[in-house]
Amino acid sequence: MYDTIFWAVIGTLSGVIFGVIPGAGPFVATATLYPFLTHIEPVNVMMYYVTVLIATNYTNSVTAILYGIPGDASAMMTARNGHRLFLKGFGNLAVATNAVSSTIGVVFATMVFILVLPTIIEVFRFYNSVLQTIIVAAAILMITLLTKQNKLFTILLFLFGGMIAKVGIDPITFDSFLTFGNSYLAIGIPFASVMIGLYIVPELTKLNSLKIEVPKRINNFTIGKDTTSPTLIGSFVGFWCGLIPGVTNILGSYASANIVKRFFKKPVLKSIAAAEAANNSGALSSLLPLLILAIPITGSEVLIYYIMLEDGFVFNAENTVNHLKDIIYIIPFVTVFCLWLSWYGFNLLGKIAYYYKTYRNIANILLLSIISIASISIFAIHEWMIICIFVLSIIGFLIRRWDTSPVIYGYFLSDLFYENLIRTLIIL
Amino acid sequence: MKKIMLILMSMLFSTMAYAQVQIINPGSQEGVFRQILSTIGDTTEHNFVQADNPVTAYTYIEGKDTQPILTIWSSEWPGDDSLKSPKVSKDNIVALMTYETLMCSRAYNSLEDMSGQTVKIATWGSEPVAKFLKNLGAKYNVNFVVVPYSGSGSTTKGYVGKDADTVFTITSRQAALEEDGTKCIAFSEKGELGFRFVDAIITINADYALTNELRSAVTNLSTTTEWNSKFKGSVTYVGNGTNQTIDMFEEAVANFSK
Repeated sequence: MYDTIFWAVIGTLSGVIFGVIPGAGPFVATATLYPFLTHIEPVNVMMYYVTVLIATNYTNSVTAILYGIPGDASAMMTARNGHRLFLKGFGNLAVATNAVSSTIGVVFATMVFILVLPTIIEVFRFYNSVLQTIIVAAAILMITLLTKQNKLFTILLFLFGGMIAKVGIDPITFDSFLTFGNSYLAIGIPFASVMIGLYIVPELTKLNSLKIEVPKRINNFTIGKDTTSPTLIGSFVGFWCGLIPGVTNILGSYASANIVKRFFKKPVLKSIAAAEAANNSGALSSLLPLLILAIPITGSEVLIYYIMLEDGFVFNAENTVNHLKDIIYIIPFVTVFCLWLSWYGFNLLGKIAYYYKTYRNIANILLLSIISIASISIFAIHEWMIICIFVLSIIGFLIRRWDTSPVIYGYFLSDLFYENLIRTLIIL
Repeated sequence: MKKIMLILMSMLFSTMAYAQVQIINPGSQEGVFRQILSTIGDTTEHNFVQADNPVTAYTYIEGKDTQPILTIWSSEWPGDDSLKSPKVSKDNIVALMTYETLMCSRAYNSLEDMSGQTVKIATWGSEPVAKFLKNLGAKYNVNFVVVPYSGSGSTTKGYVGKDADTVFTITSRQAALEEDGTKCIAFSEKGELGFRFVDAIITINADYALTNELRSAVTNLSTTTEWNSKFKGSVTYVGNGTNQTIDMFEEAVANFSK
């Protein structure tokens, strides 16, 4: 029991740290502790990973709200809406809503886990390619129809994202796409460079023109009004989107935030609530294919899969239920701790806002440099990452007046949509 | 005294040789190739290059003819102008990792039962698999229609979601497939399916002694519980300088060639 609590603490702490670092997240957290995790009981590995998932999804919103830089792609909606609220002096609302809705998302997913786990195999029996095609198509429609900018340009940005994701050699067919015989292009365009060049650079440029006010009510932890329904919608949508390989909680946060934008009045804060609830709910539901079917659907899950195999875990419903019984009581404590941490960290926002206002240009350059250096050092072929960041940043700067987020969603969704559509056409 | 000197010298040389090994992973950071090479790497001093894909990996190999390299190369990789491959021979194969395949169905009890039918089958969307199924279909008078996936995990998930009533994948997925009463009807291990995935762990620029040292390391590793649980569903054949392993590899290459 003490071992399990110890690994819950380690998981929470590493989740807090690696969630704050943009681009790191659960994968880098797990990879860093890999040598230790291979020598512990499977139940403790599970405890560690669940707490990492919960903690990173709280803290990946810190840079999103403070600087408009998402800790990972799943925090993009929070970055977009939360940072603007922060600059207008309502950072307290953004942080509080993030904390509370994240907590509800975790509670929702945990309850669904408990309720449906014994018969979870049934869920996978109807969750097929046709349903996934419908979900992804709906997400793409939302991106193009709900945008306030020129729809044609939004579609072009989306397609551009899809196109740069395809550059390289296909790992299945070995067909090359836009490589021109160049060995660097054959590697493909790494996602980190796309996020830095085509999202962070334009966003930081835009923020320079915004008027920044130091929040006056920074010491009040105020929960946004009428965020209950969006939070529940986010929890529900996020849970199901979490089961889709490749996009999991990224799609969930985007889809639920857009549903709220479409159907609710004054949607900025409510979309944060929906996105964060979906984010946490989806992060936990994405565990199900791994634990029940031994199918990892995210990079960090692949690591956990091998670690647990090495530790002798047999992936099936019975084992998963037995192990979850041993750890599920710790989840509320971890959640409360993360909630408290969000609350406590929130009190620092005033000072940070002041310094950010004073040294905005330097802060932006410094942040961009740190993120770029971190991405370059993580990627195997450093020079290729440098080239990609440089070229895409120039493109990002040129299109800075536009909302470039469709590029990011195009990068993730276009291939997924195409693959599911092909299967659907064959099945029907 | 002479014997002691020889032992000390051989130990020194073997350590020096090990220190020079460069391990190049042509797979992804989170994939099985990384696991295999890291596990072997734990037994020796090395520097590790995470290349992420075979194209990049080959840029580390090409033109370097002095530093010993340990890498893993899949028989699926075409080895033509689009994707160059290092030479794989009986002399430089450290070991082969073979992944056996199986066919399962919830609608049919055997391949013979499918005769005269059009059968939608969930499997990889690659050309070699399509070619294999076409040949198998011709043998049993079955029209296989591939419902394509990018890996064995998504194939299994698609099958469980009833995208198709028949599936062709690797044997490590058998337990998940049988959860709903599905019956597995044909296996490559039993010779019923002439298709399996073969990956060669090879040395490049290494002398005979180093290759043999690494073969010994894999021999020891492959008997451990850790290795067998990590790479469940695969069979490890350690190279011994004979034609056995290269024949297996070349047979697999022939399966995958366009």
